[in-house]
Amino acid sequence: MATFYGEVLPVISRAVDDDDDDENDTPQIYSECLLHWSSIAQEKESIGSRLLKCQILIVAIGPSSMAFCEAFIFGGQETEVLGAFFTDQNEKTLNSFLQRSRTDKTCHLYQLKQRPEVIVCQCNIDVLPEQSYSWVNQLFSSLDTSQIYVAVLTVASMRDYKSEEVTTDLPSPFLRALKTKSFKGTPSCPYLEPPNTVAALPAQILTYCNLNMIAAVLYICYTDVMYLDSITIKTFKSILNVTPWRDVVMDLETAQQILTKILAEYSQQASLYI
Amino acid sequence: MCDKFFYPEEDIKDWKGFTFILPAVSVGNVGQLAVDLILNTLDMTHCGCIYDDSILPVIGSNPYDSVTAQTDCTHLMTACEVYMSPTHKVVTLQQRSPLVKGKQSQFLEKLTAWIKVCRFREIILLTSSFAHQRIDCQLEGEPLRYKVSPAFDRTEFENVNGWKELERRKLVEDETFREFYVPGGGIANHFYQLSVKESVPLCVLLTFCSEGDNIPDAFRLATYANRYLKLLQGPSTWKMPSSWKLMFGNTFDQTIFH
Repeated sequence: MATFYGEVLPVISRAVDDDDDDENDTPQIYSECLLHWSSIAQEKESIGSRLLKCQILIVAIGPSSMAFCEAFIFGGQETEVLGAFFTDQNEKTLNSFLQRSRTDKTCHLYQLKQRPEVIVCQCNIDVLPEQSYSWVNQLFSSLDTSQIYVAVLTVASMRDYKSEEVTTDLPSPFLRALKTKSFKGTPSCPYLEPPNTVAALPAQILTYCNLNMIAAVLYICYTDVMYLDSITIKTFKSILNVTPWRDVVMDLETAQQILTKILAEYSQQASLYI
Repeated sequence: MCDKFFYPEEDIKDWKGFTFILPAVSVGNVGQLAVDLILNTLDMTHCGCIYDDSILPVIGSNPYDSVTAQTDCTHLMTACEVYMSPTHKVVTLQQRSPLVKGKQSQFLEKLTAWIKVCRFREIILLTSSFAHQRIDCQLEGEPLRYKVSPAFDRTEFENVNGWKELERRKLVEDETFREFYVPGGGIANHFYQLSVKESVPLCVLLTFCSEGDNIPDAFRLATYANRYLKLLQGPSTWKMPSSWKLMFGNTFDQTIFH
């Protein structure tokens, strides 16, 4: 396309690429997403022949969501690693079940020892939208979903939130929710208004649950803070009074102590190169 | 666990003889915008979803204003949904996210197989094409074209005035004429070839446009389709869904210029 000054620039479309006609020749540029079960899980239930019993599945995506779950759901309880997702086959980023540091790029499935029907997925890896179908399929095909509640937590940037109000006037951070038709409860915050949308892994989980009549709710915390902070994490606290959280929440005082420790650890990591 | 393609809301209806309308994810998203106009204006009923690993996931709240009582503000919108209107004998698909790179053929094969099972009378694909890649004869007149597959019944079609068939053209790289070439048309090229091969009665309706505010292009394409489909009668006009607001971002804080 020629500009006013006569220079020719390539035309870029937001919807299509120039190489759409050669689409079938496009090699897959992302690695497969693999779910590996730990030896503990394999001893407990024979994965593949019997499904893992689960009544509450919590998926926490990103550091803030993970910190909230660790403080308010784990609350210092003993947990076991059931499995882990691996999405990057690059040798430089090899990880294993033993990588339990909060700041590691891992995606582990934990089971509460005292509440084995509760499984929490702490996801600190970047699951591409193209990998999310496989991620969801591998997880849910191993779970007994007959009586399951699913809750997903994620954080998004304020700049992505569309509103007729000026963004700087909005009370940041804040929560919005989406739920499947089988989820009969009422979320603790307003529903996500159109034209806002959610993509990638949270969207895949909820789509799957909606089609398979699974009760699921997604909470998105919109924040303008790029690093881990207590205000963003505490924004999630309003969900502790609703299903399925009120059945698993731990002592609030213990949770606060754990949260302080988590924030201290992250701030050490964040200031490592100052 | 999820090896079906189409997940119906209720019992599967008999759609034999219905018209099936679907968009291509094409330049300016014009096909998708035109389908939004059709769905929002005709108050079609949500009747199912398409779920496949070839479709990138996206969710949100109900984007339409006048959907029937079966859906409400808590309805979860997903990436690829199917709506129907028994009154107009129309089934419409809306696709809200692109296909995974390299999986277009997979999606089209499954879609074609599903179309055959449903026994639709005709398939209408709404798409768009890059305006800067028009050939000379396309630079004047209405920026609208059609192309039908051999299996498409042209009998009623011939009463539609003012439709111009898509011209054959030579591509720069090779000297042979291409019967059907729509640059920027998304799945249009492959779907047309597959429809010819599988004897699917396909009619592609397209408009030439560039990226920008493509709402007028969507109105034009929907009106063009309506000349044949006659979904909208008399002086009625298309209704824009309220989810089209803020398409180009939020308003800015006026005080920054004080």
